[in-house]
Amino acid sequence: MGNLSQSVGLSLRLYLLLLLLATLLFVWGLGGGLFGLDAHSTYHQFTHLFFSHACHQIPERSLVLNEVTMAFCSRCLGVYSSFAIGLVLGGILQRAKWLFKKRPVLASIVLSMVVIGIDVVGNAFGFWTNTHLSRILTGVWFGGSLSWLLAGELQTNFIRKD
Amino acid sequence: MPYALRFGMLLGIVAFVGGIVSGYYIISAEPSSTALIIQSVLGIGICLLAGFGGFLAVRAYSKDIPVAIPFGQGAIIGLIVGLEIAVISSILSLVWKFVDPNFVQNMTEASINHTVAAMGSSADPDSMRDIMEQAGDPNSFSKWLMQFGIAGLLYGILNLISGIIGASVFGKKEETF
Repeated sequence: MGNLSQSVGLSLRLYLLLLLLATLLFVWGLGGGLFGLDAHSTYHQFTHLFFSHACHQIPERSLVLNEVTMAFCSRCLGVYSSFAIGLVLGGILQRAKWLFKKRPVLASIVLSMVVIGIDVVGNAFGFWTNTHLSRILTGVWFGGSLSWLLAGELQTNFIRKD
Repeated sequence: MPYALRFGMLLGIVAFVGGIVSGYYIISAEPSSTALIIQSVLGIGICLLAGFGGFLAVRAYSKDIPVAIPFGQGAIIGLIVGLEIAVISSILSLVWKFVDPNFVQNMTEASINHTVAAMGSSADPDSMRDIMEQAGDPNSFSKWLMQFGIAGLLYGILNLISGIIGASVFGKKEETF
């Protein structure tokens, strides 16, 4: 009888919960404009109140959807969208084991945080002016790296060594 | 779950103090886009810290136990941390309403003034004030209750995720029988 390797990886149930939460966060962050509601609607005010604890919500740094400002800024848009999409892609691609090497992913997470920090501080001190695109891209890098780490853990849950 | 409670309490206090400092800064600063940026950096820092409570609690927990930490346990630790952050910061903010009843209104008005200064003619302060008034009396208990519920939901979700990330980074992965 061979060895049964009992991993403590991410269970399918927990992965689906993560996917649901990630999708909810992303959809809420888009605000009422996603459903054609205006800024006075209860739903839009709820989404703004929700993300007020997690985002500065400065209008000039936030995108507009159907003439309504999103509930989160463009950087958060990058983070939350890539986190949700990354989880989906990671679940689909989990058989490609070479994609899920832990050290490069951890390095990517740390590096993305450093780049975001530099971008924020540099902009605050007037060294440069960041744009919606730069904020979205740095956000995508961070959120995508996080989701890749978790998607890689789903892969290791069913390892069996004979 | 002493780790979860310890980190939740500490970060709840940090989130509250950070919010108060950030609020008084924006109230006292001259209306400008720079002040908004500084406030946003402060706010993001506080939120990152509060969102990583689950991660930190799992890290502390993993140092004391020799076995692997299941992802589900990391999620629960994170969730508890998040809920505690919401409880502690909300209770402290309720106490602060008696210390400075006009704090929220002053901060809201200051935020509008800073936004107008940053956006210039494209800003619509009257519309912003309408939206704030529609949200109701900021000092009402029902408003506080709603804020508490939303904070619990947000911090709970963020720390649940960071707890799972913590289990991924710090939990030992395989036990061969």
